[in-house]
Parts: sequence; C-alpha cells; structure tokens
Amino acid sequence: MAVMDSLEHLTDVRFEREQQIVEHFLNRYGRVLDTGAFEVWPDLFEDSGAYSLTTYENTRLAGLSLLLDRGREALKERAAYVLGYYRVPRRKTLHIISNVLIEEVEGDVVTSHANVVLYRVNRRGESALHVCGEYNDRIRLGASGAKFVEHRVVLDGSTLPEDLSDLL
Amino acid sequence: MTIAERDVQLNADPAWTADPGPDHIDREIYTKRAIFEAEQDRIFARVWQLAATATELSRPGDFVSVDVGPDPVIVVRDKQGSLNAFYNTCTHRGAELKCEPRGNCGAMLRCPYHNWSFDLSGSLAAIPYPEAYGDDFPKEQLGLVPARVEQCGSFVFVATKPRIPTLRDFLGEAWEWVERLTEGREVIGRAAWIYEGNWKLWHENFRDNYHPEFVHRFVRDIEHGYADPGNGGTNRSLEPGHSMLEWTMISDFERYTRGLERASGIVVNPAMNEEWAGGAGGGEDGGPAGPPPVINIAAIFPNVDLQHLQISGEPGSTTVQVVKPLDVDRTRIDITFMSVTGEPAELRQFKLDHDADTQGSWGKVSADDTEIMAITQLGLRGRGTKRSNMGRGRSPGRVGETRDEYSIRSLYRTWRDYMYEQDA
Repeated sequence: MAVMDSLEHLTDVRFEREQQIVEHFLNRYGRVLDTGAFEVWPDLFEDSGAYSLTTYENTRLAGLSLLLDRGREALKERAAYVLGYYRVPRRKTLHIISNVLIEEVEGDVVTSHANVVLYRVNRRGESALHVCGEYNDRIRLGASGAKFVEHRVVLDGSTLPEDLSDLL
Repeated sequence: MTIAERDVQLNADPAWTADPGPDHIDREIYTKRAIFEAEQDRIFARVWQLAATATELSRPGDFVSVDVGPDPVIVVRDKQGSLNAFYNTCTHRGAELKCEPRGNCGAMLRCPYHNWSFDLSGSLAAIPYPEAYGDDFPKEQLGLVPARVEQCGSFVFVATKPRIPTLRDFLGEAWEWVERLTEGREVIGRAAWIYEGNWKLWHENFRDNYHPEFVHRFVRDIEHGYADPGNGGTNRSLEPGHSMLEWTMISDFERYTRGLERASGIVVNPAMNEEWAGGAGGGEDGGPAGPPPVINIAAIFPNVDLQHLQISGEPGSTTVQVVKPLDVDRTRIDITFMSVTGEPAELRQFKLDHDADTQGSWGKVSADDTEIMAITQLGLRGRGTKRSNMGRGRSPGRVGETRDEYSIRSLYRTWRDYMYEQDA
C-alpha cells in the first residue's frame, strides 16, 4: 500500500519504463498459465525465487502461507503437480491481470502490485469467476529478462473454491 | 407438514429405517433432502459442537459465533474469566448480536438493531428509552437465553440440547486424544472452502485409510507401504461414534521424485527442497532424528476432524477441520492450523510457510479429495446400486488394520442411534 501513501504517486511517471516491462512480463505470465505451459513456469522465477499463496485474512493473523515454494526445485515440484501429478483434472483458465502499479525500484528489482481475477471452466462446462486477489511481487529486470524474485498471491476471500490447485 | 408429520413419514421410509447390517449404508442418506433436513434437528442440534480454541477466547469480551444445528450461538469470555454461551439472537426483535465469526465485543453485547445491551453474563443491562415500556417491563426476564459450554484441552464446545448431557461422556474415549492433540497449541492460520457433496462424505473420508494411495499420488509414492501390516497402523473406533487412524510416516523421496517425473516429465532434486528437508524428521541434513514421525487422524462425531503429525516424539502441529452442511449436496469446510505455543521462532516460521501445503482445496493432498467428493456425489445420484459397502476388516471388535473400516461402521451406527431415536 506504500504507493497510496502519497498523492504524488498519482502523477508519478518516474517508473514508466519499469511499468511497461512489468506489465508485459505479467501478461506473459498469465499467458503461460492459461495455455498450460507449466513446464516453463519455473523459468519465470529466479533460481532462488519464491511463489506463495495466502488469504487476506491470514496476512492479518500470523502470516500463514497456504503454500510457499522457495527455490527452483520446489517450483519444479509445483509445476509437476499441475502437469499431471494431481488427480484433479486441469480445467481451462483465464487469468485477468490488471491495475499494475510500480511501488518501488531498488537497483534492478522492482516492487509491484497488481490485481488478478481467475475465471475457470467448471465441471458443468460453464465459464465462471473462480477466485480473485492481488499480486505483491518483487521482479528483477535483469539482462536475461524479467524474473520473479518473489511472487506473492493474496486472495481476497477467506472461503475458497472447491479446487484451488491452479497456479495464480 | 409439521416436523412430527415429517418424522413419521421418514420413519416409514425404507431408505432410513431399514438396517441392512453393519457393512452397508443406503445411498439415499447422501442424496435425500428430507434426510438432510432431519439430520439438522436430530444430529446437529443434539451434539456438542466445536466452537473455538481457548486461545481465541483469552480476553474478556472475546467472542465466537457458531451454528449448533439450526441455532446461532455465541460464546463469550466474561470479566471473571468464565466462558458463557447464549443463543445469538436479541430477545427484543431477533437480530443476531454478532454476525462475524469472532472478535471482541468489549463489556457488552449490543444489538445492532435497537441497541439493547447485554452484559457478558447475558443479563439485559440497558435499553434505549425504557420509559415507554411502562413500569412493569420484565427486564430481568429478557436476558439472553443460555446454551451449554464446556472445554476439553484447548477446544471449546457448545450445545443447546445435547443428547449426551456432558462433554466428557459425549467425547468418551476420544476425550484424552482431544486433550493430547490440542493442549499447549494456538491458532496460526485458517481458511475455508466449499465443495459440491454431502457433508458425511468428508467426515467419512477422515475414517477411511483405504483411499489415500489411490486418490493421492503423493501418498502412493512418498508414503509407499504406509498401510502395510508391518507398519503397525490401526483403524480404531473410539466410542461413542468417534475414531482414530494411526500410522508411522514413511518419506520415500526417491520414489516420489520418480512419480513426479513419470506424471510430468520434470526431474526434481529433493535434496534442494527446504520443505522436504524440514519435514523428513528434523535431524541433520533432513534425516531422521529420533522415532519415525507418527500421524494421528481423529474424527469426532459428527463433524470434527483432527490431523496431527508427531515428529521425534514431540507434540506437533494439529490441523482441525469442521464440516458444516449447507445443503444435501453442498458442504463447507473450515480449517484451522494450530501450532505449539512458545516454540522457537525459526520453527514457527517454517510451520507458517509449510504446514498448510498438503491440506485444503489448494493442497497437494486434499485438492484431490475435494474432487473425489464431487465425483462421488454425482455417482450417488444413480439408482443402479442401492447400498455402499463399508465392510473391510472381518475380525470381531473395533480395531483393525490401517485399511479396515471399523471406524466408518462406528460412524454410521452412531448416525443411526441419533436418527432413529423416537423421542428426538
């Protein structure tokens, strides 16, 4: 929420370049998830990168993560689950990632915030709102392209869908 | 149709009254709306319902609100330190005094509608503009209607009209397990999810150690052999109507990585995964440091499930799930993660990072369970097969091997006791 602390940010154009790169990166990230290319998903993180999922309620309690994958091997393990290790089948998804805001830039690491809405085709074949929340990310804009240092997903609701095994 | 008329009709229904023997249950108990509605009055209104952990009610004014069958109930800690429970409805016009699941109400429970205020012992303390009610206004008779509240270990239970009058008798042989798995622990997180299936399927699943190796590739691979007789696992009924599954945890990471690769083509190096190292036994390099980890799963009739992982013989984290029926084919699960009070900060952080990873609708294990619940509910609609079989384990008694079904049969014996009772 740091970006909201000052009205100056409303007209802040200092991070215009970073804004474009991060928006492009997050769009690409959503496309990887929606096309089921989960085998390349770990490549969107640094080797020591972390992916976590929690709810807004838990951020206000003790800070429990519903899941946290830190490091390349843990990220690969997660990818293996969605590629076929879960019994629960994959269902078509649509990630809408929007409202990207650059909050801070330190060296080549950008701290950013975005909203995410996940639509998914359900068991009855209907396309339906599945879950929504926020991305609180740190992204390194390195020579080899953008990669997550940390991709932290915080879901709005505390009552979650029946199957939340999709990547967000 | 009155409740009495409905009960007469239900009692004449062969789906409910016919006792097919200990090994089978009529599938209509999962699909018939009239049976679902009767369960609310005959079971959920007459059990001791888990409301909270004591640490959530530590200060005066701390409250939780919970449903006991159809009745909303509120539990509050008073200034003297006692726990009091009341029907969560204003004696004036009926609004719930507190809609949120938990919080602190200060010195009073105030109705949000007309600001009638009740002290923490339930007495009506103040009403706005009282003079219009006249001099004979029976203020002392308009206190909150009390409910029952009792504690076992860190668990606070409430009841309105319990079939078994005391919590100790209600928990019976499960009492010491609830104490052991909850004392000295505090809440570190929670979540909930809703699945499309009857409530009994989820609770039943916590008494079923036959399914894990087939539903969960994780269990099939990493806990290969968990249910073999030589592993000492048991499936035990704890009377009246509760159960305990117990087995020694196996951590076959090599087999797990082979399974991951077979399913996905991805090769994972387990030695580089902090979660695996931490969960393998607590020893150096992630190796075993003492006795092998033991998993206990307790199921408390009708809707509370506890899962505990004991590492190196020490008390560990306890995961608590409360099953709430929403409709005949729709159920909510509230999950609470508890950890040991006062544990080292580094260990606590590890648990905050990883304790929830296998559980819940997001979990490496439980995501598969929610899918199976929905698929099972869909199949149960069909009328091709009348009864489901729960007949594993043929030896007399109430303790069998890991894959046996003594505890499921105990669940449905108790279910019948509550549902059949004529004067309920």
